[in-house]
Amino acid sequence: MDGAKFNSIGCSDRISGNGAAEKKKEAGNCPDTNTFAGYLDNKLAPTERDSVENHLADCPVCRNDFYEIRMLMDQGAKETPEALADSVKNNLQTHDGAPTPGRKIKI
Amino acid sequence: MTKNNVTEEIVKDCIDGNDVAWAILVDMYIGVVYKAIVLVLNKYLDHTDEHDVNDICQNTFLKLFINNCSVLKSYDQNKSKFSTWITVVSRNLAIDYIRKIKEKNTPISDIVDSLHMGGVTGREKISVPEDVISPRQHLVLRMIYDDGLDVEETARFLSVKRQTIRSLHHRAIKKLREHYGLGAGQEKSSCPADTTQS
Repeated sequence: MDGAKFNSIGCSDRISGNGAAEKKKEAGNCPDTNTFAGYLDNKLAPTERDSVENHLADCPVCRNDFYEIRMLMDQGAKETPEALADSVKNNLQTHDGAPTPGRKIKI
Repeated sequence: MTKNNVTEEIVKDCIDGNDVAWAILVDMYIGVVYKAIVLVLNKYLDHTDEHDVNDICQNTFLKLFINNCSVLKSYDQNKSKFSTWITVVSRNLAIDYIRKIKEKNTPISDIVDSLHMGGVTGREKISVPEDVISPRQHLVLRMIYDDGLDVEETARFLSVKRQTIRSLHHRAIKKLREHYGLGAGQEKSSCPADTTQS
């Protein structure tokens, strides 16, 4: 199973955790990021787990997301380019000043 | 102190605007983020550009950081490990990125079709009446009959033993037979996806 049987590339409701998308997810009953991660970690309460599995049974796109993320998690570590972490840290530090709360940056 | 506890403290410090905590968070999770992005781009794009991978890595951490850390604050430590949560977030950002690329180069009708295709593989989906079988039994039937997984794969995805999948399958079929008045199933229902069953 390599996920190639699926044509979709991700649940249209599950978009990177911004506020609007979170609201849309609730409306569409697709699990939000926390719930999805909790299901993958097997840390949800039984009723919540049932609710996710009910949804997964009916939503092939979320099911594909589930397969793909599970496979991602099962993969071994990849060597990360040495300069990347420094580059990310520099970006955070210089992005509109120090990384303090209360700033709004559009990406 | 476990890694989870350490992460909880670091996340709190990041939200408080501690530069050192941000540096530690990046060092701890850059590998997880990088792996998720590389694997997703490799899967969906013919050509993976290291520059794109770097951009999405940068955006993932920025996403946690901007708007008063609203996304980072949304992480619920009671529900999942941080590494799992950030894998989901990174993968979502990579998917958004791919979607944008594909939308640029694809006729709109194809995009609409792909959004509605989901996991349907051309076969008609089996119909399962509500409340006859448990959510997990229903999910197992979907994974096996709609998605074509075998018992081994289904067990691995759900982190349970193969025997559990066989049992869930057997009980689901038995309940469905009863529901449709086909008898309780005189013979044991064998799972068509079970290649290891004797």
